[in-house]
Amino acid sequence: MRQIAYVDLTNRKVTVKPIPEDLQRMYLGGRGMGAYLLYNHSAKGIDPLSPENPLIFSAGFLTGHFANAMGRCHVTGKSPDTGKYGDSNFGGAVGPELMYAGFQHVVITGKAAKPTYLLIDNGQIQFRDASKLWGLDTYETQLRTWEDLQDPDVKIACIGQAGEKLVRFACIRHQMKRSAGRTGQGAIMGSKNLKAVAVRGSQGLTVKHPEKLMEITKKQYEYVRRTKIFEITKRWSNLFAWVVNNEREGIVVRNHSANFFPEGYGHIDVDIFLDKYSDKMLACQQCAMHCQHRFTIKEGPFKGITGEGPEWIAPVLFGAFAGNTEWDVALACFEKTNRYGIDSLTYGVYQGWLMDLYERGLLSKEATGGIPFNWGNPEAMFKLPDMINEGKGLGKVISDGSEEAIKRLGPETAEFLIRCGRGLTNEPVNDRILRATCLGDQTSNRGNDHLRGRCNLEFMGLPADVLSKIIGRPTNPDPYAWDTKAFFAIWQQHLNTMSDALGLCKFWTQWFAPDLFGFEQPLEVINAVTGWDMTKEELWQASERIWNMEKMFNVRDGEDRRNDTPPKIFFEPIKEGARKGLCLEPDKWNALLDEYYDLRGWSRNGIPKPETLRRLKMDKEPTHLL
Amino acid sequence: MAVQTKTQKNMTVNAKVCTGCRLCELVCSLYKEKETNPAKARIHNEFYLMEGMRVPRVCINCANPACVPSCPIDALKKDKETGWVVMDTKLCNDCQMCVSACPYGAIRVTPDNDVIKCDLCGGDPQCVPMCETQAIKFGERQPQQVTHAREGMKSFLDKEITEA
Repeated sequence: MRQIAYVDLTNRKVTVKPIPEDLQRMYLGGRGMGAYLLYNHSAKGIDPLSPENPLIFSAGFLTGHFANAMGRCHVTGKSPDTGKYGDSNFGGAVGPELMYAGFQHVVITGKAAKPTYLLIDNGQIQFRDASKLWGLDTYETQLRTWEDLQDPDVKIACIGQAGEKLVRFACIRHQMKRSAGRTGQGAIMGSKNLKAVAVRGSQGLTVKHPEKLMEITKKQYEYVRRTKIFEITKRWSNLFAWVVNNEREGIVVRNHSANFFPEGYGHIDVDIFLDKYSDKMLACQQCAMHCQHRFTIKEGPFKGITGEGPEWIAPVLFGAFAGNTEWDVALACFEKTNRYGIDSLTYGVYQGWLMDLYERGLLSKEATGGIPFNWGNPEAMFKLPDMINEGKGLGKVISDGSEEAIKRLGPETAEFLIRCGRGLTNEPVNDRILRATCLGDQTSNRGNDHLRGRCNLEFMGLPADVLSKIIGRPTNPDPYAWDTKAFFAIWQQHLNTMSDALGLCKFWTQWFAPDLFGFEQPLEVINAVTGWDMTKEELWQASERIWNMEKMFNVRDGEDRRNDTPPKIFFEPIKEGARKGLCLEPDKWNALLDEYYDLRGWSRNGIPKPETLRRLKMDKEPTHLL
Repeated sequence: MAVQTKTQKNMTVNAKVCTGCRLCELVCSLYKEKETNPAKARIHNEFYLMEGMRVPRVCINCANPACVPSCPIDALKKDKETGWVVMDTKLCNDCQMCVSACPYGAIRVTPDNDVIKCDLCGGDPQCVPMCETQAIKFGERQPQQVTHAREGMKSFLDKEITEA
């Protein structure tokens, strides 16, 4: 039986409810049910850091089952970073363990009187004292919690010092690398005095057709491990994307001043990382692809630093974006943010921004505490996380969100901090050259996001018939073309929504490579586990419903078309390189956005129409069924 | 010492390449118990955060198994033909003596206090094809089998003990 636990930290009370089957079919689990629960358990305009903001841990619908790469867990709560819909997804073993402990979702509200951690233990939830854990980094917190419980098999999601200090881009971390990063879910945990969630479970998950599930999973596993992308990912992780995107001028360098980083050649190359730093590869639960590097810095001033990761965004943010060419510095800083529980993506954007301001003379040496914030200065890069941890200087300046940071540094600094329409710092990618990707990213409900709308198939040079077959409609494979891209973006958004709702890693889907999973393969697994007769259309509609539910959360707080607008810089022509002169043309962008709204059944102002909500059976929300 | 009459096949473990995906646990429990539940799997993956190690614990059918003499009711036997350590599940009274005796932590106790042990699925271990990095392998028993297994599993245990 799939259950939800409601945890009230203020009154130390726990209530458990089963999830009715019709709601399971409508919202699945993970991100889907997370969206439903957040919409139903929060009121309009609540303060993200108030006790009323629920923090929802959600295992995916298939998480924990014998199914490939279905090991992910979702965290949902109104974002302290943007004040809009907030959620984040992480792998590892917390999600499956939640299922084995008897809960698909844990909805946490209120605020504990003193530092607390939750022990979710086979259907029981205990409130435990975390005063000894308060102030510890994310690795230490896990080690000490295991000590406290005398059980190293407990799976822990926790915050570091950043979450305790309510840094708006604090993340929730599990193991060394797995983190619910974007939108500041760690700050919500901190605001509730909740240091960690520890999970232990030994309840089995029943399967309707065990033999069928066995056959399907083995078949899918044998198929995927023979694909090229599997071979690539298990060796390079997604670090190969760093090379690819640098070569095709798809990244941003020195805070959006260029899109190509030739200085890095021979220094911050992927193969140098593999030879000099990577020790081995590790995996999330249930995933054969094992894409997680374990690295050690073996010599130099940072000798002995060990960590896990990095993914391709780390050499971009701690390398190109900050003008740094050395792996040592990038890895040491990356590892430091991991320890403090800082989301390295959002943080990296701020870091590059501060360096840009310093170089432009908009930031005085007094403001930086005497440290020169020149491009790639290791001292600055290494001290900034400490400043955040200590709540001092520039660290404090950026800790309270982008609006606050701009207020403190002056309005003239605003144009250099590139943010999307929802106020989230833009990812260090040059999306303006890709139409479907730009549309998919910018219309994401939590703010610009490669994990929601990035259409990777758009720039792989696929033949038109292959791409059209995957998308299910005639689709133009030219990344600069404007036609057929609105549906492409919607297809991608729905595929990714489905993955997050089921607990499936996107590295196993057609988000990542054309020969991986679409909707059919996970559907087979759903029907084998539940015995349902779900069709592809029903699964597609569930994804659409989830997307609209998230949208309605934002609409309730007053969002409209303006929030789907890309940053201004995307409308300015690229200054140099092979794609010189390319940009988003405003009229073409607006026509594309109109087409997107029409296809979604939304008004031209970006609001879901009543008949769309009726069609999706969500016009009565909030229904408070759970 | 068991006398080898013909080629024997056995499980080998190499913890160094284990990624900790636990697919072995899941396939094991689904095959044996018809439910997905690592707590009822005959193989277990141990997790070491700071060391970056994931250690598969499964019976490697030792040449001189410590568990066999530990059993007070002779429910465990070393099969001369196959070389496997076989548990008579009907006879076993779940006293857990073998669990304490096994140096590899390969015999497990379920949440219902049943003692369970790998039986190699009768010669077709389901977990092995699911192991992408071949951290667990099923093949011809090698003369240095135990030494090899010790390198893979025990050396890490030793490190843990000396540094604790």
